[in-house]
Amino acid sequence: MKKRRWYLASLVVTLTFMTVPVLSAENQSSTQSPSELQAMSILKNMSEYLAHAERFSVTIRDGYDVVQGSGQKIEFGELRKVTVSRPDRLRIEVERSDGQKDLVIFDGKDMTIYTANHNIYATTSRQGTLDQAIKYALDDLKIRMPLALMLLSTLPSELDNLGVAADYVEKTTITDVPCDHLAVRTAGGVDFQVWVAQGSEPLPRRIVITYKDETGQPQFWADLSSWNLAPDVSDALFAFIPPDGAERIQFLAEARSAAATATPKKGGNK
Amino acid sequence: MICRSLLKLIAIPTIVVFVLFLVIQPEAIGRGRGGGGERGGGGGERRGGGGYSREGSASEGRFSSGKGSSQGARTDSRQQRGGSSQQSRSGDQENRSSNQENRQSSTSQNQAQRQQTAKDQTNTRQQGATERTNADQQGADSRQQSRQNYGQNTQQSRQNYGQNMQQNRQNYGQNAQQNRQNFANNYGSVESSGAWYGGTSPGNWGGYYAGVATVAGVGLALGATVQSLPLQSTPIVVQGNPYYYSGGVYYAPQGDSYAVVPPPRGAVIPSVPDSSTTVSGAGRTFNYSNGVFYESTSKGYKIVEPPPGILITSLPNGAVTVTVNGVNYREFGGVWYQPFYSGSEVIYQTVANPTG
Repeated sequence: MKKRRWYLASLVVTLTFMTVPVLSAENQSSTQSPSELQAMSILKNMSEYLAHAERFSVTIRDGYDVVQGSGQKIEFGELRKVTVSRPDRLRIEVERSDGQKDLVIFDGKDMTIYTANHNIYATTSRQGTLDQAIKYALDDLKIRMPLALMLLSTLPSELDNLGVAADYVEKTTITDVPCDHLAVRTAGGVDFQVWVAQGSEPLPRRIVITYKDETGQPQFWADLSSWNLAPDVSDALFAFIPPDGAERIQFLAEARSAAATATPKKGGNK
Repeated sequence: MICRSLLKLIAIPTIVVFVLFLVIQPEAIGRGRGGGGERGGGGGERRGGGGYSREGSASEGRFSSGKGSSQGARTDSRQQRGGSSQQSRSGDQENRSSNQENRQSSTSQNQAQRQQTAKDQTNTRQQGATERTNADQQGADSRQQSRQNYGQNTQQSRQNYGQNMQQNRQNYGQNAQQNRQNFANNYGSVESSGAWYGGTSPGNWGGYYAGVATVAGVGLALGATVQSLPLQSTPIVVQGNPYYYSGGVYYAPQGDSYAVVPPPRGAVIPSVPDSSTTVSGAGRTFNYSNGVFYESTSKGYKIVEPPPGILITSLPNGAVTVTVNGVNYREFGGVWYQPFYSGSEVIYQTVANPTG
């Protein structure tokens, strides 16, 4: 009988041990861990802080992988100096890694892009807020504006819409200011990491985005430095005065939609 | 007794299984870390064209992608993902360093060569944008075409590979242009300053490149003469006149020698320059290279005048700005273009001749 009890006991104990990992795994997935709660809170702080800033300027040095046909990854990059003055002013100076220099300006009435290398610009009338102008530039004109989401006053709700789930990685001190390193997943197959400055100015200092559903899982990274929450925002900064000899051209998207409206029956622009 | 042995029968295997489970689990995790690597590194033929395209899904720096999420991939443990990217990264590095060696050996030949490669890369970057623009209009169709184009290049490269150093170089920086340049080096006429001597009447191919200094990006001046044709040149006849074609350059007999001439419209050549990209519009597809449009026919590729509405991303160096009724156009080789912003890039759309 003693032996029988021993076998029974050992069977029960073994089965119990085998069940524990399964149960604990279920517990983990159904509730947020302290580190996840902490990360979400930091992310929210950052987005609220940025969204409510009346004005700011920041220098962004970014790079991104382009997966070539051969599978080889090549990195390109650029330097962007961004100045935002809410509700309706924006200036972005771009210097690409190949030397092309662009300027994007919105003054509440007009959106202009200028390319110094060609001495060419295009201006479109766009009365409205900065948020509206950014969305128009991105969605309709297809102007490159990496991290444009960060410039929106609706950043917190935009992040909610992405279905973000954040986790805390570590506190890092090798950045120019101590940062909280967060790992964030979105519902849309894009992961990103953000390093948020600790202290009273929870601004993003570094961002790495991974497009994990894309071939080769290319990444976009950006170091954000020289944050200034009280930059000069004089009117001159947001006024575009075409340089001598600058040629004004149209945005293709607008030219095509104008042509389609003007001659709907021809439909020449397919 | 029976009961006990039954219990024994159940308990012992269960314990054995549990112990095995404990032992195997760390191994499984360990393998999981490394195993993902194969997934990370493969593929990449989505964007064709070769060279170094500047446009890709990461270039926009957005926080979302057009694609839906794949839940399966997302359930992987963090360790697995970390391991996978690490592995593919190191694999990538190996590729890169071996490529670099190739590059060094191939581009250390001469300075001009390097410049040419840089130019090619610039072109390809811009061409990447065109393909993207076309993809907007034509969807998968255009992407497929560029994939085919890429395949052709690859095949061509493979054929060329190892034949000789000159073609080896051609493989790497892809292309015919370099072939031409090597040719030019041999004959000492690389400088791109000479003007084409031809007539000036527009439309007539003699004036096709009127005012244009060179066949853009080539280095061999139009009008330059050579004593003998490059190897593997193809004779073609256009409207009764003999020409020779080799690596994207056209030659016409001139006395005892051969003059470099503009691509004659109507000429049919067996293959397009490797540096060409596929462009589409008005229901037709063309190969475009340096201001010349080629259309595929049953006999080969025919040099044609493009219809309005074709987008290209770079014009040859010799394109001139002409203002007609207050609108600035570009003109090159009898083809007229109008510049537009497509996103942040200046691109050029073919238009009907505004003066005619």
